[in-house]
Amino acid sequence: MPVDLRDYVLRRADADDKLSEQGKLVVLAAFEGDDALAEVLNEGATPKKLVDALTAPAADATPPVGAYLTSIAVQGFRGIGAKVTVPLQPGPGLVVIAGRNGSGKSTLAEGLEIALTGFNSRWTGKNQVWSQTWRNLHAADHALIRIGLAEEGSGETTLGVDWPQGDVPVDDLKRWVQRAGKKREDHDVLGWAGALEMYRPMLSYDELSGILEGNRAAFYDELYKLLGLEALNVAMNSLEVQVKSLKEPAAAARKSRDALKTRLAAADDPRAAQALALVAKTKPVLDQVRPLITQGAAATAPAAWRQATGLTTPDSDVVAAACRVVREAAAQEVEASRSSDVLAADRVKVLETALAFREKHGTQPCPVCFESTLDDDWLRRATQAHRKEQQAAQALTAARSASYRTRQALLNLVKEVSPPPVEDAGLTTVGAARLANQGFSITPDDGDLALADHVEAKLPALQTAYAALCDEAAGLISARDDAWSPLAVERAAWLEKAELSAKSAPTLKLASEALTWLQENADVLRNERIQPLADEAKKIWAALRQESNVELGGIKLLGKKNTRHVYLAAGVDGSDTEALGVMSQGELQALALAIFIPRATSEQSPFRFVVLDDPIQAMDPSKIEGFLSVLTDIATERQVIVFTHDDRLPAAIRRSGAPARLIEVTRSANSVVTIDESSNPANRALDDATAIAYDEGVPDDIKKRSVPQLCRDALELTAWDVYSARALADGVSRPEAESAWEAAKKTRARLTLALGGADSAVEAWLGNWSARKTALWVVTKGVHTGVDDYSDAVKATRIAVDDLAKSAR
Amino acid sequence: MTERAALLEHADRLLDGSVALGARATRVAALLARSALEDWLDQQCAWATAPKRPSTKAKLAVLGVLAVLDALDDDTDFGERAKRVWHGLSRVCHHHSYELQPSPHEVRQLVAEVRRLDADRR
Repeated sequence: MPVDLRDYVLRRADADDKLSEQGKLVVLAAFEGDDALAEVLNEGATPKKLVDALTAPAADATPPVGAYLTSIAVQGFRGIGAKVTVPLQPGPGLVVIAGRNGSGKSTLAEGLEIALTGFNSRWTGKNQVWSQTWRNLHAADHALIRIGLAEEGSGETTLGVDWPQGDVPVDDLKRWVQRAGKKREDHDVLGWAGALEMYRPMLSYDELSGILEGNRAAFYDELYKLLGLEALNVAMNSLEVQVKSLKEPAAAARKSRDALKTRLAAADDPRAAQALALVAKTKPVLDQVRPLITQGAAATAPAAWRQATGLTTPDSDVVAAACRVVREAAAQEVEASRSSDVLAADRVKVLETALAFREKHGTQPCPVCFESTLDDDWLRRATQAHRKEQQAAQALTAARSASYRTRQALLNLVKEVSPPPVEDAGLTTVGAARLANQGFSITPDDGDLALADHVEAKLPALQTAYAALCDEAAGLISARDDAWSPLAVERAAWLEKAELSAKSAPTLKLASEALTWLQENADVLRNERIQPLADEAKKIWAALRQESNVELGGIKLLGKKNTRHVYLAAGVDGSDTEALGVMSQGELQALALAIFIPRATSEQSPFRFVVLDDPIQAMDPSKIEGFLSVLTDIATERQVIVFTHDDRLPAAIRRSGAPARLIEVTRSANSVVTIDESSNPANRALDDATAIAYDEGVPDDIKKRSVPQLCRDALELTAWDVYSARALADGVSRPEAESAWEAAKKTRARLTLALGGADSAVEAWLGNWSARKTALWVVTKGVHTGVDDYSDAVKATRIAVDDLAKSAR
Repeated sequence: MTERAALLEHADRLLDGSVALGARATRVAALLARSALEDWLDQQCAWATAPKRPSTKAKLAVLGVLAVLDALDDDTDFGERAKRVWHGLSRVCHHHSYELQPSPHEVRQLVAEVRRLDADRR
């Protein structure tokens, strides 16, 4: 971006308290480019280096290296036959090239335009004849254009245009550039394409009227580019893109939230209401919403359902095994009790008593059978029998205990079956399950076999009822889940977007702030940017308007897109209006000049020259003086070249002291065009000197003071021309040449500069030329002592000045 | 009122129509202004004492160069201004085949310039 626009934005942003410090950085970064913008908008602190770079006030803008014209040469093209060269004095100054219509002067202007741009604006929109019969019939078949340029800092450069021989259209041309001591290069190396369009250093009469009468939007665009305001548009665009992309997460989150809200409102789920309340908040607290998504559905199902799904029944095989064991134990108990009856018990009692008897009394005859003796042999047999009896009793106890345990195990299986939940609206099978459970868990107490039979008989019904209930509950839960999980997924999606949006929100706020600021200030920026140009145009208009009662108020860039246009405010006898409507043709032209000139002489333009082709066709004589003063004003900074076909401007120059040169173009038979520098400031000083020197009414003391002075002016003016032309052609910049000139204060020292700078140069130049010697004496000594013959002094100086001027060619 | 001021006053009245002279009014006004300018120029050229009067061209040329040399009040421009207004008045005083009659506005500006010169350097 042009430095001064950025600087301007920086100043304005600094002055605006409403713009935050970070917002200011964003605005400036937008001017710097997308990379800088991305970095400033990025999370975290902007690197200090970038901040410093963005907020640093711009250094004083140095004007670009510029180019002056040193010559225009044309051959075999349109009005010019044999080669014609117009030597031009490079450097600031006014040159008027005058010639009658048809003298070939416009051909020179066209040649310059073609050499610079590759086409001629006069041909556009005109009959083909214009662009086909372009070759001059009086010349050899070779048509060419050569433009001499003095580029500041790089020296003499030639722009060339050549056409092939034969009957070719005019645009079949070849353009090239040749810098001093280098090969011919393509024309593009100058890099002037954009600048030519932007600054338009050449303007013809046709174009001049076109500026204001042409397309309003195009004029707007031209000024826009000129003022460097494109950078403003680029900056606003890149900010807009940023804001748009930063808004995307928020928009997506909002869209997703709206959809979610509808779904939640429609959902038949207690959780939905809770979620809806959280989600519907203007600023949902994301941490509160998050758990609702992560929790599974089962955890929140009704207790009865969860209980139902948790119901189990014993396995049939396990029950069958348990029953079998119960039955076997029961059978063994029966067997054991049979083998150890009451008789056996009594027998044990008798045996125990007998054994106690034998123990107490020793061997005795049996008191019961009376036949045998309770001897040792008996004791042995009785003890054995007693042990046997005892064992039978123990087996019964064991059988009884085993039977008990197996029964308990089976009862445990029954007890482990939990009851179904109490009545529940959603569960239709719960009644059946309860009945089955009752039937199963109330066990008979009339023996083990009955118990086993009961369990085995009731289990299938229980299993069936419980399975049905469990299935039903599970079905209900999963149905509820099916309705909920998409909502959960959707909420998760929204949550993700909302989190993204929340993350980008601060950046978005910043970017939006910067964009809004730029949009609000764009109009002001635009119109303040145009202010210097408008002021300049006003000044020029004031000089040109003379008789006009139209006052130029201001220039504004108004409208947008298709309605964009340049508004030229005008005051007519105190009332405000749009300038274009109230102006005469001549005034319009003067106004176009007033706008064109500041544009063509912009500081940033690489062209140090401005070329006007017949700018005063419709101008009143009274405006000529004003026009000339405008031109001489510009000519202090720029090389101004004016082509004109009438004598009004040359006459104004001749009679004024304006520092202008006058070149006359005349055309004789066979398209032979001659160029003659008819008047320049040195000549005019000598004309004044002549008028004084020859006038007998002017006393000597006045002649003594004025004539040598005028002669000195003439010689120094010429010396400067010669010196500065060579210096610029050698690539010396104008300020350098000027300071060298100012350092050489005396006329002789300045003459030395003009003659190449060597100490002996002046002596060599003087040689035996008496006129040169006389002239130098007049302007150095004669200024102080006076001169015997003033007319002779002027004559001699005129010869010396001519010689010096010629030495440069 | 000096003679010069009176001449310029007359020129004004011709231009604003309070003295009606018809189509010739502007040219007569220009003539009056030129007389005033000549009178002013003579006053500037106090050196012209020889019996032979110098030409106006010479007077203007001397005025220009002395204005620069003497650099009174840093006003080196009045010699140039005098030349310009002189040529402007000379142009409108004569009839030119290629130009229209001078407009009152144009002459009014020339009159004003003479008055300014007179005020700047007496």
